[in-house]
Amino acid sequence: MTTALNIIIFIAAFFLQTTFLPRFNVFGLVPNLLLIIVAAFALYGKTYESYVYAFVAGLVLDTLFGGPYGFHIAMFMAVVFAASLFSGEEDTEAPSQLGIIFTAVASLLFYGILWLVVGFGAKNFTLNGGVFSLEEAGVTTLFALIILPLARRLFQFEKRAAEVRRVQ
Amino acid sequence: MKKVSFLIFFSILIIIFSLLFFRSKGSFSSVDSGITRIFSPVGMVFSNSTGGIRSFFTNLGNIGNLQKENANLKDKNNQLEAEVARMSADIKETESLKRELGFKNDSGFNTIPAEISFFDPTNVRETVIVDKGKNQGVKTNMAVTSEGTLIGRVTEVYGNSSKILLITDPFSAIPAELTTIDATGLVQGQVGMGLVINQVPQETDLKKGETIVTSGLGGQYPKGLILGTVENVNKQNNSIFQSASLKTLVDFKSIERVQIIKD
Repeated sequence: MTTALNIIIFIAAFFLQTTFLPRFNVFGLVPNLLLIIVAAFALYGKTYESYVYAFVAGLVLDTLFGGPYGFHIAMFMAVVFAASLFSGEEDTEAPSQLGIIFTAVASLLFYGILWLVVGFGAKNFTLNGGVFSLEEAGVTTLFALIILPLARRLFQFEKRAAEVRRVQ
Repeated sequence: MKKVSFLIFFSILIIIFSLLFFRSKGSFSSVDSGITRIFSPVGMVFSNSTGGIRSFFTNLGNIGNLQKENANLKDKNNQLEAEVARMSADIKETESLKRELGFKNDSGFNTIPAEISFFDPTNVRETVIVDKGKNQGVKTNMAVTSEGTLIGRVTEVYGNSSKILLITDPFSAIPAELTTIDATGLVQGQVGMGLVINQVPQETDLKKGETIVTSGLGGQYPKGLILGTVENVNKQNNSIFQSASLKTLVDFKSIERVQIIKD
């Protein structure tokens, strides 16, 4: 996809994540839209570009909000790194199920680690942190079921368009 | 390819640790302020519009209950009018006593109005960013209210924006007291579960609907600010203290405007 469109997608996702979704939460749960977008870019887009977007998105979130500084950067970068191990460069033919399973696992780890890193401790993790992580990962995966196939289509479309341009 | 990817990831990790180090030394305040300044105005537009949409749908869903609620409110209003008449005489007497004893009058706080720009995206921490900062006279640890209810305190201040830690955050703890009985407790936030009051002595007769206010202990929050009402009491015979979940008087996800208490 073009750089301008990528930036627009990230900015829109950021504002939706920080203004819209907290107000329209699903039973108090807020899906992690930015994590889904980072995963989509990492799975179907260019790896280097994904690192840049993940870094910038993480930096903005870490700067604006509470919690340990660098957490979002590290987690988003780790998502890109893990995705680069599972899928190839611009692998738009990879099955959608792979992306959804990847996002589900990534969001589960994201919230689990966040719970521990924020300082709630491992003592009550099983009862509270585990349930919370499962719930948040669940709602994030539900959103990923809709967003990832759409993102994959977009990347496929842009990849074909780029090939046509190259042939011409 | 994967080797290069790993190298990038590794170098980014080094950058993150460097960022952490410099931030801990306080070298990033201008970067923080800059990013907040860029994003705050757009965030406020989004936040305000979504707040309006949410209110519309909430009202639409409740339309069936409105008639019943209206009748109840009329009855309550009549009762309150009678009560106001009785209390106005009491207020005169109380004010005179307060002046005499040198107590600071809790009402009439000097406040700074502000609007919410962003909510915390993780749903783990409960923080918001507002559009007023150092340039408008905001300082750290100032108490923040909305619709007469305490909602949090200022934790970080930038040029034209500030970060507020909401009372529903798990790391928030506020010394509180009951309005009708002479008893104290500690109001704390819980992840996804709102507010609870802990450390209330077992012998205290906690009742549903009881109003909980700040006690002013510790000096971080002014005395007498409303925190919420008791919802479910959790009393265990083998414990020294009891706890209760609280119902907040404002919907924290619908708040658009807040008042930052200057003094």
